[in-house]
Amino acid sequence: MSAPFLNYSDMTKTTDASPWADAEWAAALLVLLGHTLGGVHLRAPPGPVRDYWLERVRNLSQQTRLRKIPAGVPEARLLGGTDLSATLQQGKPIAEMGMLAECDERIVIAAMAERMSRNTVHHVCTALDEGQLRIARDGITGNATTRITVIASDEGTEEETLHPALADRLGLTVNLENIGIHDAEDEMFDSADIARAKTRLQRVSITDEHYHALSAIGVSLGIESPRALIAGLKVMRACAAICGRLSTDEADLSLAVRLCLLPKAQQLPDFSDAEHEEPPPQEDGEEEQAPPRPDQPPPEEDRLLQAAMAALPPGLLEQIQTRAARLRQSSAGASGAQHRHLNRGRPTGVFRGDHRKGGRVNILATLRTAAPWQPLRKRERGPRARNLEIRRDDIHLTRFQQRRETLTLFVVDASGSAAMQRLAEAKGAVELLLADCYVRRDQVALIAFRDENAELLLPPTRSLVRAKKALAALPGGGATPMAAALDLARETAQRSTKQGLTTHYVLLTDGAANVARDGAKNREAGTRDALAAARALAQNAITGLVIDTAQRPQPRARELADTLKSAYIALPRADAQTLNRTIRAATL
Amino acid sequence: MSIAFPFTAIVGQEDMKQALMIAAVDPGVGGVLVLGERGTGKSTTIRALAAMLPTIDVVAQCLYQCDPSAPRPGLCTHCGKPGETPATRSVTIPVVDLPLGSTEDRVVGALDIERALVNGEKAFQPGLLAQANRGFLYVDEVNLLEDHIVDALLDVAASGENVVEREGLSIRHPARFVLVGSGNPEEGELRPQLQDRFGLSVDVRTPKDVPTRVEIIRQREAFDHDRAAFKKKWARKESALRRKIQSARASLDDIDTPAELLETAARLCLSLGTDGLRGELTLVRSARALAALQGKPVATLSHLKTVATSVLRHRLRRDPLDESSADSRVERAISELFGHDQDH
Repeated sequence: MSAPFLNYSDMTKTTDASPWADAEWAAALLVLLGHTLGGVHLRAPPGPVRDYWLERVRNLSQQTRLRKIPAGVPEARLLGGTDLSATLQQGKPIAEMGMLAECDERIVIAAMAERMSRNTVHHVCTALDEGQLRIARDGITGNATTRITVIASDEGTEEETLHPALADRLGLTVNLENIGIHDAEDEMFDSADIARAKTRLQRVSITDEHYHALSAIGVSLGIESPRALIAGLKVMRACAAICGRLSTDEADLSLAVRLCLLPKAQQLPDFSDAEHEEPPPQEDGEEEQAPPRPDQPPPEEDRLLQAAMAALPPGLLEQIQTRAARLRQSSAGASGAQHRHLNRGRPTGVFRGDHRKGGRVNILATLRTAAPWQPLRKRERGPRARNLEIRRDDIHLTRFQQRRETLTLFVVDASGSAAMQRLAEAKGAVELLLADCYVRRDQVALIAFRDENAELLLPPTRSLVRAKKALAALPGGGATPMAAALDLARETAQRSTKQGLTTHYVLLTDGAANVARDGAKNREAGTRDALAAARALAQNAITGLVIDTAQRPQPRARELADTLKSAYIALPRADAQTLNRTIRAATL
Repeated sequence: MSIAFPFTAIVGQEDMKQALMIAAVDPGVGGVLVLGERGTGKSTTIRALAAMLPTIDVVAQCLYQCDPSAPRPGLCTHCGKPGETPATRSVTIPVVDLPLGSTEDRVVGALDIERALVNGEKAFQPGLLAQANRGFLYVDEVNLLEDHIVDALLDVAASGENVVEREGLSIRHPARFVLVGSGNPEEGELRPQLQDRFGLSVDVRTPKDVPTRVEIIRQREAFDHDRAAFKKKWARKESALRRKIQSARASLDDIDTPAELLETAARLCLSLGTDGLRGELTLVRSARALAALQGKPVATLSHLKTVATSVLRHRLRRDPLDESSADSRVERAISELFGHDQDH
């Protein structure tokens, strides 16, 4: 393997043959481009393949080790602050460097990045954007250089994925999920290749056609943020430089599309049907001002995109497709998951406060505040000074959630039996309640059920914007899969209870269940399963409210409410305002 | 400091640029809120603003950039003392970052510990609010800001004065700043009290047409490739805009405000049912600032119309049943009010 891939036909062969080659390319590009690329979103389960890939990065970068930023890293450690022991020892404030500053000019691994707290995500994003961080905490103000390159290791399942703000800033995506250790092949690059490419990198030119093609492909994949395109350009340049060329060609473009664009696709164009395809995702809700598809990529881009898609490792395309479909349903994608991190029932911060008014003293923060003052205070006190002089001003309290937040989970019957009009009222009530909720920082979620199944249309959120989008897309009609809805409600409620939210549900239905758990459309089985699901929900001690929306209330909804051990209200003619008032009175 | 992307090189995003320029001309409009999705250039644009700001005269020895020509009562305790005219110096209007994770002591200020230790004297070490006096205070991801920091901000923003009582200190100093916040609305709502503090609010989105996007990525590439050279290339445009802002600031007091404009502002706010007078005042101030920017002697209805959406969109009472967006409600109210107007 001397002078690998100066011949580009070799490269394509390898790329086509194994998905590992793309991963290998990503490692080389990461090392070559470093901070300017942001980093890699690494989707991989823990295991030998991931270890091997990380080892490859470490080798190529010639770093002795890749440092790890744990997901739960405290803000003080991440950003820096007062070094407690040094401050106590030396009797004057000594700053401690934060992790991000320590990792300047290095490649770092953000372990379990999908579980990073929102603030950690923000700080890493700022470090990537600015290459420096402004610190203003614990008596220290200043800038720290943080030109880091991040490998965000994401073991995420369907439930949890990397925060989109961070994913957006990571130029490359590597997916090792479908690669076995036996697929991992020989090393394609060594550090000499990288060094050689570095000298060429700035001289590589990109043609106008390639600028245009990349942008057009971005548009047809529904990628909004230009960051992915900028990363794509860098990758094209770097790929050409590694291959020993001074201008980009189609292979470079194809690689950039595979590593930078396709993994971030919000939609996949359908080439098979010229007549044309479903509308683009409802990304911007009501403010759709442009025609649905402003830029139909011309055939040339189509061809390039098709070629890139064809070169994708098997299985990956399907994954992208399912994800894009999911994104279409709940346009904000994963950010519901991140919201939960914001308010998991755990300490949320530290603040200076009076402990006599209640609250738990945070010893470490208090000591940190008191530490620099010790010599001064001892001098003041003279011989009566204690080992540690703590004043009331030093006292810091840990802030937990001010009170337990509530989640109001709407379970809305969108079936044919619940008339369309009721659905519109339910939508209105959800929005009204949400408008109140965000003042109190409460959350709302929405499950809709119709036809075959129940769906969590709106994961717990406080965002009116997201709620409106989810509600606007809520269709009506079909059968009533009540059991599935109650099961999903139970799962959602259990999850949010675990996160420290007090959960209430509001079930809007006429109670006419007619789809069984196994999907069979049968009134008897449907009712039987619904009652069983109701019992399970009741056993979880989750309180709720059943609102009977039938024009003429009937005993079946009442029976359901009894089984659920929940309050029952018949509201045959309520409008959104009345619904809202009733719900608030019943649940708050 | 690293070199920031030039303000004039930012492609598109005219609303955001205009709102920031208006705030630069008249800090009295009361802050700019920028909301938008990822990758719309929110922080890039706001950080670029710093280079566009003209200089101001400050009292040379003052920690709070006190204005030497201002009436004494509004100044800090030191500059407020009667006496001879102090020495002055000229500084660029400050843009201060308030990063998430800041602690309260660094935001509002605290006892200067080094001086306390070395000289045994109780001196105040000003915080970010002091640094931002007469300038801009920028909070990225403002919707994630900790509640107790928001409380401190609201308090100071309302009074224009920062009062510190801690560690045996009792300090008050002026802290008037233009609050600039950015965030992604999908990550959660802003506290209503904080939202009210912003005079202007803009929604930014990414352009979706291919040629514009090509231009965006080309600019960014050129910038990343050689920041100093890129900055130099834009230097002329940058200084032209800086001069424009400077002269707009100078002429602001002389802009005529016809009675008709005041009346229209009032009627517009009335028809939209915005609470309080702030909307009206900000409308008029923004229209005047825009006229000054364009070098016009009079603020016209056309100026008013241009700024109306930014001024009013975050002040509408929420009506969740009204499916239309805040923007279209403002536009509707404008077209109802103006009919087919002759002004354009």
